[in-house]
Amino acid sequence: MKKVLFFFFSVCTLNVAMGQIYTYPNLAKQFSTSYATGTARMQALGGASSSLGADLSAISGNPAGLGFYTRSEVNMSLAYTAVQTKSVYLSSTGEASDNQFQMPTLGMVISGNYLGGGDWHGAFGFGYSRQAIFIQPLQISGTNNRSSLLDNFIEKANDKGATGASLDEEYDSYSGTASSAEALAYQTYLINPNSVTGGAPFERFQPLLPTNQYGSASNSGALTSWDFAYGASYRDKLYVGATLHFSKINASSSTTWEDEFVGAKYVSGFQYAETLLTSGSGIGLSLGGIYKVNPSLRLSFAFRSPTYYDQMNETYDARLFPNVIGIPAIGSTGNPITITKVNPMRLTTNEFTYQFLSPMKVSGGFAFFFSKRGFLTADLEYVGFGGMKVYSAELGGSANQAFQTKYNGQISRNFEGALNVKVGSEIRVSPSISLRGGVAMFGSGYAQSYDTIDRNAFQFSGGIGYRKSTFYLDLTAIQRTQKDAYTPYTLKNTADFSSATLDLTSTQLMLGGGIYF
Amino acid sequence: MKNQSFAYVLLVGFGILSSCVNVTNNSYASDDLYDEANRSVQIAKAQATKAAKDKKYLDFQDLAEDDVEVIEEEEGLAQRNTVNPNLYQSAYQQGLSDGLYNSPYLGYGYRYTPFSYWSPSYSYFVNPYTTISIGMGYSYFNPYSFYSPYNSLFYDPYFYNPYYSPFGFNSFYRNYNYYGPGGYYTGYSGQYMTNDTRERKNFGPRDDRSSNRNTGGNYTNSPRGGNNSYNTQGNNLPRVNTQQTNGSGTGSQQYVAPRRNSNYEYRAAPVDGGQRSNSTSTPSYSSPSSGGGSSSGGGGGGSSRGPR
Repeated sequence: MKKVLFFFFSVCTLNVAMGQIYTYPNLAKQFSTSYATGTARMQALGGASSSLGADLSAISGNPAGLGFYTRSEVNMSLAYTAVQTKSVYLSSTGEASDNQFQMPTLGMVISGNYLGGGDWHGAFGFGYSRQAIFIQPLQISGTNNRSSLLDNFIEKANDKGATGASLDEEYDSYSGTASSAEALAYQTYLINPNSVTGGAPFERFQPLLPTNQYGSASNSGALTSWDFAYGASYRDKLYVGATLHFSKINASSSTTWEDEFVGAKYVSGFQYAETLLTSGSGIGLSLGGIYKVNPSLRLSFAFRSPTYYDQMNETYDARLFPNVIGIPAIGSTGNPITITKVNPMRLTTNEFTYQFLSPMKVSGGFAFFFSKRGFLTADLEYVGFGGMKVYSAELGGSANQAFQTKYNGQISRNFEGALNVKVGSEIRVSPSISLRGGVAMFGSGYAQSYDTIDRNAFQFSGGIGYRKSTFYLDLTAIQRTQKDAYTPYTLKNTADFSSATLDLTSTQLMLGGGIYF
Repeated sequence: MKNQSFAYVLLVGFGILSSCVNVTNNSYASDDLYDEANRSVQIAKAQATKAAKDKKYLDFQDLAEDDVEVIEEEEGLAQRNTVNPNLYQSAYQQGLSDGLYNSPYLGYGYRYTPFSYWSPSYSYFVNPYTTISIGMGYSYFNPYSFYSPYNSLFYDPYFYNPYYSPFGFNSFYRNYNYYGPGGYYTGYSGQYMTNDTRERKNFGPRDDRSSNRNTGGNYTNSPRGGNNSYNTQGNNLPRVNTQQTNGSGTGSQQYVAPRRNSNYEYRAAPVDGGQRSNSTSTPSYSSPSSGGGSSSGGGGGGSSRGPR
């Protein structure tokens, strides 16, 4: 009971989240956000593949499209993705970039045997698909006249009524680690208890000095999926299908935050580095249908259930690197000393396992064919970000309930359903060559009350395809832009901290091909 | 809006391009996405293909001379033996069981099992792990070692293990270790090893101290740390009227209290007017941050579980 009460108290205490590293609601959003997926052909069309069929994208998208197959196929694609982040923080600009090679799709479709006749014909497909990659980097800097990250640690220490003695208790001499960020700052002499009270209000050296701040973040990992699907056609008029998704998340986020006190006498600055590793596996189901109204018009509907991730394992680690000039202190023997160097210290590594339910998706679309010259297709997709959930079975009972109440409450307040609009067109300019273009707008999923940033993402894509009766090759280029923000730490007085505005750009070149057999 | 306009122009362009293109429908490469899946035609095609195949295979009299492919056996080819003659002889003369028993490929016996024979842990002299294991053995890095009686002390001429336990079979988990809180007896080296914290997971949230969890979060929609919400109220003007006094530029220098750790170096404080006495330093303890691994390093209590 004591444990339960303690945890309930812990998660409900008014405080701020761990700086820089996303908390569970934002992680859930990050792991649930994907843009155009599928083969190079479908990505050139803006990802509007719901109504088309006869493409490997149907395995992870609308499985009803497998019903269009009259022969078997194997497909693979490779992509080069370059991302860039431009930032403005405290009137200073920054820029960071990263790139990656990856394999967006790999799969096979095995078409059924037609010799049996009948009204139903189907195809089985299985494949690997990359739904999202997490490589957006970050680089910000600026001179802060109002605050330091240390002020965030000070507020934490004040809020929990800490004293020097209590923060000493949070230090483990055996492992040499501290169990909270404020205890870490205390052990490295960056924050100090009030000399009169021995506790709050905690203080830091020379708080009025301007602070040069540098922040960077690097991310890696991906959301990938192995999918097994079956799609069938009924008299080549109605197409239905189902997919079983086995999704996998692997994400790593490393951030560093550096404060440098200009003109400091005692402490010249510090660097705080954090790492969060997250991995998990989930399972989900897709159902879809396509109806061919006439040879020129197809309508589609698809539903994807929330993916349930049973074991989201995370490991959080942080290190503090103080840079000391000379701190007046009382030595262990009671004599005054000047501390000239404080070695880096580490936060106690924290491991945690939780469950995560991604949002459901519902989509509908149409495709209009200009005979065999080309087509125009469009998809409208709804993603219920507000329905994301996190749980933690390992906490058990009331603690789990408190965990859900806190974070799922944040999810429902901060996120809402998003609409994605995708439009694409393909033109066959010769018997073997096709040109494609697409545009898509992905709704941000953030509630209007969240902040003032418009996070909708816009994407343009184009491509060319070469196709013979036994094989095909597709080349696609995609560019996506969106805005975001980054708040390295928060303080109770909103005038004391600042956010960075971010312009995110992602450019992808993709080469895909397939063989029929 | 500019983006949408560009998109519409793009699509209209495709439409115009489409109207200009004039390709005979029948000449396009086959594509299930476009092509009407005329099942009756497909079935007829498939049946015709199958019938033609069957005819060629079965009606030998009907084959044209050009279609006939005579496969002739090369002289002496049949006399080649692709089976290892030694293995073959062994199996033939000593019986299947004994042959496999001694087979260099399939051996399940202890005498000739190649995995055991080639194991880096087999040799006492070359095994780097020998000195840090007890119980069943010095070969727990060899997954095949369980199948080899060489792992047993009874067959090891170089190693006598007085702590052998029938339950110590799986030495990986070191459940039967009585030799020190942080590790296990190291045999010849005589040193205690630091345990890997990843092997000592402590399930459940910690309750003996506060943690690095996220211990809160308000339920309003105000900006929170570690998020991407945008704060519009930051003005970055120089701060004044702070209540903090410690080292804030006043002439009276205050001395901070000692911490529990001795993770610092120091010199004696100046005695008068900036004059400093002899410098010295404390034997700082080795910072665990030099470990490198993000989740390893540190001893017992070096990790915790629970939400951040």
